[in-house]
Amino acid sequence: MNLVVIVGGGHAAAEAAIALRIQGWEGDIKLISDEDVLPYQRPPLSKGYFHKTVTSAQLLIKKQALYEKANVDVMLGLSVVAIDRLSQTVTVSSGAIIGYSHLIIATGAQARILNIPGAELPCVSYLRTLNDANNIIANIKSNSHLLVIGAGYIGLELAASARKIGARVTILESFERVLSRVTNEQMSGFYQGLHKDNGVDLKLNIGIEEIHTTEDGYVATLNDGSNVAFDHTVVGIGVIPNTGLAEAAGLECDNGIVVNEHTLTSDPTIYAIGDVSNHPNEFYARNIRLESVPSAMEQAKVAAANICGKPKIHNSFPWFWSDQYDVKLQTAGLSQGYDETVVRGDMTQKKFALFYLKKGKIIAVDAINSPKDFMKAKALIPQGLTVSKDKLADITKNWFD
Amino acid sequence: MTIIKYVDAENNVTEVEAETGESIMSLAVNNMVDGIVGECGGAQACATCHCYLDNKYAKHFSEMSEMEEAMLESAPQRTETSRLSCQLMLKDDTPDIEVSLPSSQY
Repeated sequence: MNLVVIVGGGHAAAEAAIALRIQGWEGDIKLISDEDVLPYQRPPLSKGYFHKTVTSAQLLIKKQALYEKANVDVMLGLSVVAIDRLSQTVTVSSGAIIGYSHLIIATGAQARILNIPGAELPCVSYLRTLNDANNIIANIKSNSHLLVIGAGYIGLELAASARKIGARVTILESFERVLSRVTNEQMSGFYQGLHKDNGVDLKLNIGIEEIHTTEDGYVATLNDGSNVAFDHTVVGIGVIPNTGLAEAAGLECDNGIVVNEHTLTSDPTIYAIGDVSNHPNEFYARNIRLESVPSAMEQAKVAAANICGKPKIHNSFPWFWSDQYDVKLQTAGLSQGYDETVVRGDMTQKKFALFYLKKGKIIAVDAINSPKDFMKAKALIPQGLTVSKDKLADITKNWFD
Repeated sequence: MTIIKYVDAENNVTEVEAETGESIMSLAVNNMVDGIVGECGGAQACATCHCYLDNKYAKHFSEMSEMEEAMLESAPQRTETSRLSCQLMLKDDTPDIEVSLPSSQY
C-alpha cells in the first residue's frame, strides 16, 4: 500500500501534502483536519486579517484547486482519535479506519488555558484558529476596552491592532517585563515603551485572580486587589503541543513528539512535523521545539522528501517575525543561553539590531526595522560567526564584512 | 487569458493563468512552481519569493517600497531587476508577464 496520511490542518500539513507531489509521490495522500476550512495562514489573524487587508480567501495556504490538481484528499471537520501502529491504521472521529504506509503527524499546538474563576465566561477568548479570530474581531470595537492577558507576541500584536482601530487596551503580564521568554531586558523595554507611547495601559508583575460579570460588562480582579472593567479579553499565555495522539500510540514525546534529523519519530513509518515536533538542531546542539511557520514548512519538505525515498536532513535556521504599529521585528536564531548583548543603531529611532552572543559567538539577532541586518544574520550566524563587540556596535561600517 | 511565465535558473518554464487579486508569489505557490517559496506568506519578512522582473514589465506593478528594497538589498543573487514576487499584484489589466527565478531562495 502506498498511502500517506497527514494528521493536522495547519501550515506543516498543507505544505507536506503538496511537497509530496512535487517530490514525486505517486500513491494516495489524505489530509485529515479537525477544522472545517482548508489550511490557512495563522500569522495574519492578529494583524492583516484583523484590519481586513488580508481576506479569508487570501489566508488559504493552498487553494482548493491545487489540492484537486495534486489529487490530495482533504478530509475536513474530522479528527483522528487513535493510531494503531501494529496494523498501520488510524481511526477517524467518523468511525472510519484508514490504513497508511506512512503517517505524518502535524497536529500543532493548542492555546494554554487560563485557569481562574470566570475563565469560562464568553468574554474570554484565545487566538489560535480562524473562528477564534472572527470571534475576537467581532468583539473589539473602537469604543470597547480590550484586556490582553499575557505579553507575548500574540498578545502584543493584538494590542497593537486593537489600538489601531481606537479601542482602549490594557495588557496584564505576570512577569516583570514583556516578551521575557524570547528577548533580553533592553528589547522588552523597547516594546514596553512602544506600547505605552501608543496608549496601551501596560501592567507588569501582576496576576489575575478572577473575572466576573457586571451590569454593563466584565471586571477582572487582580492580585494587588485592584479591579479592571473591560468588554473582552484575549488570553495569550503560551501553547501546549498536541501530543496526545502520539503519546497514546506509544511514540516518544518530550515537549513535543521527539523526532530525528529526518523528522522521523521513534516509529519508522511515522513522521512528526511543525509546532508539535521536538527536533534536533545542529547549530544550537540541542533539541528544540519551535512555533514557527518557516520551520513548519521546511520540516514538511524534509518529511516529504524522505517519504519519497530522497533522504534529506532537516537543518534549517530558526527565524521569526512580528509586526506591531510601525515596527517590524525580524529575529534570526534563538537567544536562549546568551551571555552578552550588543545594540547596533539607535533604539530611540526604532531602527536597530540587538545581537545576542555566547562565548563571543553570535547566536541570535533581533532586528527592528533593519531587514538588511536580519538577512545577513540569518545567512551568516549558522556559519558560526565571531565579530567583536566594537565592530557590531559601529554603525559606520558593515558588521558582516 | 493572461499568462504568467516562470523561468527557473535551468530555463524550465512553467506557464500559469493569471488570477486578478493574486500576487506572482501566491500564483506560483498555488501552481507548484518550485522556485518560489514564500515562507512568510507576503509579509515582506523573508525574501524567499525573490524573482527577476524585466524593466519592460515594471510599469504594470507598484514601485518598490522601502521595505522591499531593504529586504532585497541582502538577498542572495540580487540583481538590478530583483523584486519580491509577493509585492507584484495581478490586476484585471495586467498583460502577459515573464519572470525569472534565482537558482535558490536561500
